[in-house]
Amino acid sequence: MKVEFLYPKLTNLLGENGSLNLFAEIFGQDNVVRTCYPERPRFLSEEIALVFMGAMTEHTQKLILELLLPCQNEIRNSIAAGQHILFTGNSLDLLGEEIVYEHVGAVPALNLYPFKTYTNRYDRYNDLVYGLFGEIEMIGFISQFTRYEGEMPGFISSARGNFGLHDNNLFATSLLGPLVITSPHFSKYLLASLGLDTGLPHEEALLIAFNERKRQIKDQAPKLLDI
Amino acid sequence: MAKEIKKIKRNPRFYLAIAAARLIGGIIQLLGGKGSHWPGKVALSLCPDFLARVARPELVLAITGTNGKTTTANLLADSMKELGYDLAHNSYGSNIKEGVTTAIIQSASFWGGPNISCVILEVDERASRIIFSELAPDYLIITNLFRESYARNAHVEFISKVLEDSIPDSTTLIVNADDLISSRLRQNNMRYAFSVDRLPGEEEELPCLIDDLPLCPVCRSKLVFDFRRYNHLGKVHCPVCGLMNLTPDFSLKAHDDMLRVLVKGEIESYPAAGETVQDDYNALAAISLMRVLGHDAGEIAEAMTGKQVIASRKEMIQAGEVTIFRTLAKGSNPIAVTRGLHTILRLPGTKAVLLLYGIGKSSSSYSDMTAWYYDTDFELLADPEVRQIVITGARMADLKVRLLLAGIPEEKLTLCQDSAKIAEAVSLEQDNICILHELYAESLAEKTQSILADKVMKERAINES
Repeated sequence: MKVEFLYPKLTNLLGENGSLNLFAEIFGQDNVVRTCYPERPRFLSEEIALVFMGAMTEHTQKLILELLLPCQNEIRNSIAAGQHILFTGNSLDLLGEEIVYEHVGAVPALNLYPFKTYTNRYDRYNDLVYGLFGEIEMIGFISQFTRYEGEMPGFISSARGNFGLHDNNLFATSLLGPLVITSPHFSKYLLASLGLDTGLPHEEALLIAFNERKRQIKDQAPKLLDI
Repeated sequence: MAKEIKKIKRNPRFYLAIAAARLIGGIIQLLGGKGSHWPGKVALSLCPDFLARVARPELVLAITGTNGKTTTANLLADSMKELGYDLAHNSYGSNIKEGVTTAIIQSASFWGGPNISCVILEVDERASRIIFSELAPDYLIITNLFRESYARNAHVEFISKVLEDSIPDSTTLIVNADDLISSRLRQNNMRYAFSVDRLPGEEEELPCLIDDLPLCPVCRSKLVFDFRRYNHLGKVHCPVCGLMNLTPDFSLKAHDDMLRVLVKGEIESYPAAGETVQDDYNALAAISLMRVLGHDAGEIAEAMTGKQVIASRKEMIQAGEVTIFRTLAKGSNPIAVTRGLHTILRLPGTKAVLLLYGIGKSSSSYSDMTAWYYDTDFELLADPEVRQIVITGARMADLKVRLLLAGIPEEKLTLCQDSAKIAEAVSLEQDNICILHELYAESLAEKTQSILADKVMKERAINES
């Protein structure tokens, strides 16, 4: 069973090396496909269990969109066919209609979902989100200068609203962490949905860290737990 | 493109601001404080465009960049005082607008007129946007740029753009030629470049987790590193478009008992400020600026004699056979922490390593982002000579996860719930006890180092008796 990291040297910002690290340990190094810029995504032509892409710079967003735009329909069909995909950080932005950069203008995105992303470099927003995906508890960080307008099929509900989109087996959210580390219950769900029920590496430590963070939220910002 | 800066006339608000700032500064000094932030804060709250109204010293020198700002600024200030400059300097680390304003107040006469001729300003990269718009530096050292402080600075592309938009046209740059990111900023500005050659003992390519320059910034091809010192620092070229490092004006060729620097075809010798290559970069940056200001090698070398990286940043105590080493590596800064780990690993013999992070108020918050752990090369601690790793603080559980993912066996980890008692958790059997700490854990680190030295000596005395 293979995991594909899309452009990992370019999309490992804001802690996403941690996601790569965890997935590599789960799938085994021999089963990791690292697609390098400017290669075409491998999941479009071969069997890949899970596709992962993390956060990137705004310039990288444009470079990757140039690569992915010709594959727009194939990506749409792949999602419809049930391909497991996890996008975190601003890789979510690529899935909307366009990304509007302040002072630069709009760049067309993959137009798979009816939302637009607006960036404003000096309007940076940092916080933490405790949320639920169904019954599954999740914790992630917000660290972004973007806002979204439009509609996304909901992913994580929280006291701060919905974060990200969930469609079939596509999960995409601007939340960071690395999310698969700060949300071990979700990571277990994701792997179980792929038929990997073996548990997470260092699962006990991951759950202790999750519970400790939740305790700190309860002590310092209990309203975040009111969903 | 940065605009030309015009001085604004002073008004009653300005005079009120400077009087209030001086009063506050005086009170803080009487109470024994350093007073690096509050006088500036008071002045700016009463007169937001204070910097545009106050008298500008004849010579404004600034230092920015991810790592090495404080050390470079301190070395430069200490050496320039020896060279006879009457200068003000935001030496206590407040490098945002308030700290810079305090330093400028110190450089001005009582009512804000010209007084001291030179000011040295350590400037936070992000704060450069609001500082340089009112106060253009004559010379600006840019030490390097790496990803760090993600909540504020996002990523290198973001912070590079901030500097690109902020640095005035008139500012002469002193840049690090080994950093193909920061040395390419503001390409139309006058610039001088410094570089450190590959030194004896340095690997051709140091493995590292992160690379902030994965593609050529001009043509987006894969870059070729002829020598990678760490991360994206080194000698690099693009095989497609030919982009390469700047030719340095000041090139460190060797660090033996002195720093040997090639300048215009001649080797000049200067005292070193420390043992690490980061110390060499910082000293070379300061030397380069003083040379650009017209001082000759002899007078600079004399001025730099005895100037070392300040003790609060690192200290080594020998307790019998055991070396107890302490070094600051700022939290949220994966390169600084990785460099700290490399420094520790160079010590010969077995080691216990104490990681003092998650101690300060912000890192104890429920919302403290620990993403930087995953960009830090904690894998280095899997070295067999590291026998114990002691962790503490509010982020202890997160750090444990990171260390396990780095391949560190759980039995090497000791978790200490009470940071104040961390010394009790340390095995004294090692050749070295190494404390790596964040800025906010400085006093805890100093205290722990001292307790450990006492414990080692007491144990030694018991064994001898």
